[in-house]
Amino acid sequence: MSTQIQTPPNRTAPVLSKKQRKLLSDPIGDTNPITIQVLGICSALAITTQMRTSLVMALSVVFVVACSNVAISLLRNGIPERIRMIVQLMVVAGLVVLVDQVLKAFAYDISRQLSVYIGLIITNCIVMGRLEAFALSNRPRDALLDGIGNGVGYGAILMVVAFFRELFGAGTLFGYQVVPQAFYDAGYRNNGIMLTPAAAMFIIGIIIWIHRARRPKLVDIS
Amino acid sequence: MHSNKYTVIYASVLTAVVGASLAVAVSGLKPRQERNALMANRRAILQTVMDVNPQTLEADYPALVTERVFDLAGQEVSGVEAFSLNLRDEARKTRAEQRLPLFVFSRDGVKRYIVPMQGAGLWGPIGAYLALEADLSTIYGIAFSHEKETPGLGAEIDRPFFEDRYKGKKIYDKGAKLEPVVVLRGSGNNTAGMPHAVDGLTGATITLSGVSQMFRDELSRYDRIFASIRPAQ
Repeated sequence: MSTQIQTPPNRTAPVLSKKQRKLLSDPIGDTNPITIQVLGICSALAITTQMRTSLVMALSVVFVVACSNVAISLLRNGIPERIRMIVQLMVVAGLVVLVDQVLKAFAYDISRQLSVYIGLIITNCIVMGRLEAFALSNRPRDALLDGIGNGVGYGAILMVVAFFRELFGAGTLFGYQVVPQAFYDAGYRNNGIMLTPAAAMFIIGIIIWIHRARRPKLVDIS
Repeated sequence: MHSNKYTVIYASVLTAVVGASLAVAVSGLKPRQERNALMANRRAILQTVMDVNPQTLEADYPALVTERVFDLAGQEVSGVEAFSLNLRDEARKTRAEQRLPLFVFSRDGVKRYIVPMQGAGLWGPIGAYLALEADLSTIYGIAFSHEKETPGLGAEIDRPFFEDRYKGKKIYDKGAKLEPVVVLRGSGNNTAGMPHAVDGLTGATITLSGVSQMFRDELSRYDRIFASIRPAQ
């Protein structure tokens, strides 16, 4: 994230403390919601056929996780214990409907492509997972960072998966043809399996494998 | 532990706040959304017959397209707005009450007939605008739409590479009997020499059988209308 300004000139406390920077960066790597916590898999399988839809989905999830984290963190001392989950769900659902309506008004074509999956952010386990695990017991500022970090961690995996699926499944990236026509003339064909959710499962599996092979400390903690 | 009274009041207030703010947002954005939907419809209609320039769309559409409404027997009905007809509601009415819109495009003496269609895909409704050449059989172009089909699979029906497969196909056989275009199973089928079939898409079988069914259902309702227009040319 570009907000990580290291040291202001007067050498007072940095804008983000070390702990806060970790809140932002950990979910992108060591506590990644998809590859380590294995949350949010359903939408990661469903919408990653194209990079453009994945990007909009990623941004929507960043917005929803960050805002709901802040909202719940602000409310955390007043929420009645017994209806805690319902309150969370209501905040999340409200934000998701808002995102859906805004997309319909300002990005009509993309909202039609993402169809039901925007609405399904409500049931994305990452969102409620962060509310329960973090926002309920932390200050709004930290909750915001945690939300952005987790949203970006989710979105980054989405983009990686979509990159491979769109490239090998359709020969395009962001809708632009990148596999030259000469390849097709020479007998190259798009890989149909890349368009099916099964391919996303394989790619996520491979990402998890590489991730853990490079970071042995992650093995067995999940 | 909070008291029951607190819990109930908290829940009511939160509901009211969330509900009110959503209501404000939805009603504020509604005009924009409806305009988007209307423009998307008009663009879809024009896209079947020409390259659409979004800047001039607003002026092009009324200049080039005449909206007509018919009953199932092929009689033209006046006083009904074509876009006000909801195809799904119409299909549920009795045969005598159904009203069907037909969009007639004409430019430089060239006529195209554009038929709106609706049907069911895998997850939700699908639709299409089908443009026919003046013979009312040869397909000039088609624009599909869908609401909830799977991105990358069934949702591909609205992509040009799929829509182009319909160009030049025919909905009437040589004996002038209705023979709607069907989508073949899987992809990579050779459809050369098959005027009533197009190649399918792998992984979108149910969406595409919905497309074939939509062709059968909707075109059979337009059969009499086509018959009434044909001699008048």
